Amino acid sequence: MPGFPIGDELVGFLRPDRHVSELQDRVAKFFEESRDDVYRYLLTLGLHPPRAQEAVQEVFLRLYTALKKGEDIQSLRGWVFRVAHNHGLRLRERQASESPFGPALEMRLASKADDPERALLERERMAQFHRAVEGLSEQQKRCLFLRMEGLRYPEIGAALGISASAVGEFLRRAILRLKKVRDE
Amino acid sequence: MSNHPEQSLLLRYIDGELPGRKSRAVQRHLEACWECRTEVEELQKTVAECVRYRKQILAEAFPAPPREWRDIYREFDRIDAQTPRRAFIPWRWGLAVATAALAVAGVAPYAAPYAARYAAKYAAYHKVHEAASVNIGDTNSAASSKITEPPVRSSTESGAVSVEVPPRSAVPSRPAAIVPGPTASISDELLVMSVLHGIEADLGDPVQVSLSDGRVQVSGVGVAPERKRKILAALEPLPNVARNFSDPPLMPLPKDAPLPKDAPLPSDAPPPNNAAQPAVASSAPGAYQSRLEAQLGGRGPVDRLTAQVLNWNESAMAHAYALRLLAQKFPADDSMNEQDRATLRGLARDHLVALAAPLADFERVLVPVLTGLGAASSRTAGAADTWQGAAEQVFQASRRIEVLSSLLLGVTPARGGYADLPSELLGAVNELRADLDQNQRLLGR
Repeated sequence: MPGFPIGDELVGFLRPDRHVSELQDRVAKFFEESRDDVYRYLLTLGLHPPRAQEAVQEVFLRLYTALKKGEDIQSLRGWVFRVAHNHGLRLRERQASESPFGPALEMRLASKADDPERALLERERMAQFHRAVEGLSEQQKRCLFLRMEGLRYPEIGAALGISASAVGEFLRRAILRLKKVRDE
Repeated sequence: MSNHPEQSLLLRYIDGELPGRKSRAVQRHLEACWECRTEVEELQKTVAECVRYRKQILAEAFPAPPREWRDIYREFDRIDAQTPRRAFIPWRWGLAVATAALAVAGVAPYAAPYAARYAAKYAAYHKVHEAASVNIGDTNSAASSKITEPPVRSSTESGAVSVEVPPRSAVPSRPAAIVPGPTASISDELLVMSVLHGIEADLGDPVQVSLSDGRVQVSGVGVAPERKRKILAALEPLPNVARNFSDPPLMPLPKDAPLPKDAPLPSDAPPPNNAAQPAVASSAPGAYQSRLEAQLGGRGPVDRLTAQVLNWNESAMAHAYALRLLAQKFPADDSMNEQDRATLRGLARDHLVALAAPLADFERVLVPVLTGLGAASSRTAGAADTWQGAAEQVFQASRRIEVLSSLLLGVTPARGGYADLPSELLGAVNELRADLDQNQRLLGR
């Protein structure tokens, strides 16, 4: 872990404003690119939209703080989702009496197909798939959602506190169950 | 690669998670094998369905953020303003120049700036924190450190090694009624429990049964709608039953409410004093996984064993929890009438019989593996003189198997040292067998 390279103290001291400004731009750009993905992930955790939105901002501010402190982060996306996952669960634990967010997504499904009959079939297929995802175990869902967001097995493992091979096993089970639904 | 690769291997292959050599071996196999290529295509189709699901449901059907995103630059500035800024102090120049000079002189490692040392220390802390913060892995439990796939249980369930349900004093059972009357009796309560048992609502559904206000109170918070319908339908014909199902009320905590005692620290919190404590002891379970791979013939068989053990643990723990709940609810059944006692013990026996199935699987499959790892054990049953006491021992032994097997198979990160994990696990299996037999004998009295 390199942290501040040697001499960086000196450089940072000479040009603090530029250093800070570059870091701000970097995190702001990443925030703009990824905030919707993190927001949706937090919704899948059961956070209500206002709280999820607040949490997203909090996570990116933590990222900024961590980078500012010199933390060496190999994968920004992996880091952000790990922290978002932990922060989201902590929020849920602190508000244990609140019912988790679970919108009636099936009602919101809209198909882009032109043919009404095809659209109906497509809608039904997606609704069935959604029900199957909902039926997965919590760990299977977490692994699946994080994988959908592009995280690698070790990154998912780091977020959930499990080994990469356990992630593989949970994903295999999830995919197998979803495959069955798709084949039905 | 002559044999067909396991499905988990194929999934890891298409996910790019296999090391180069293994990946190339799978690729060569796929080029030659129609069957496996078709299997991979099927997996890819399901993956594509997941991508569509993310785009069509997660991206479009979820509500948009309710407010405009805040100006994050302003927040950055706020953080910067809170961070103490270094003032221009001449001696700092001297320090910086000296640091650079030391770097040039090749003594940088000894003169690393504070920030770098802090960052390194922070990283060490963070690794420990990661290993210790498994309790957030399961949103259904308050502090779960296990990564098995338990059925949804009440919020008192914990995945941590010690699962504490508030102890109940060993008071005599409530007086039994001979026949159900206008006021609910223990007979009505047992009847309700039998009905719930019949639809397996005692195996993890967050449903509680109690006797108060002259009625059997069946309450459930956050039960899935479909499940709730089934439970209500089953309870419909029963007399003197009050049904209290609800969703958890909205009750946000104050913004600055303190974190729960065991909650993980925020990721940017300063490292605690004991951050340097090792997260994994010398007997790292990773070493066992390598030995298991060597013993069973590769990662595929180990993954298959892991999946089986997860299933068996899930089944065993569901029944162990239910059995323990019965024992805690009725710490003594001497004062019950014959029929009630028979009903209660019948329920307990059912759980023991169901628990015997995964135990037999452990003995058939897991024990030879453990013996192959050099495990030796001669544990015996604990001393219990009531079936309720033996039920608690059954629960504890089941819990030990769940925790130890998860550690051995790498499903749960290790948090403490185990001198001889295979022997301890073998001991737990033997102990469960002895406790289960003892429990059955005591129930038969």
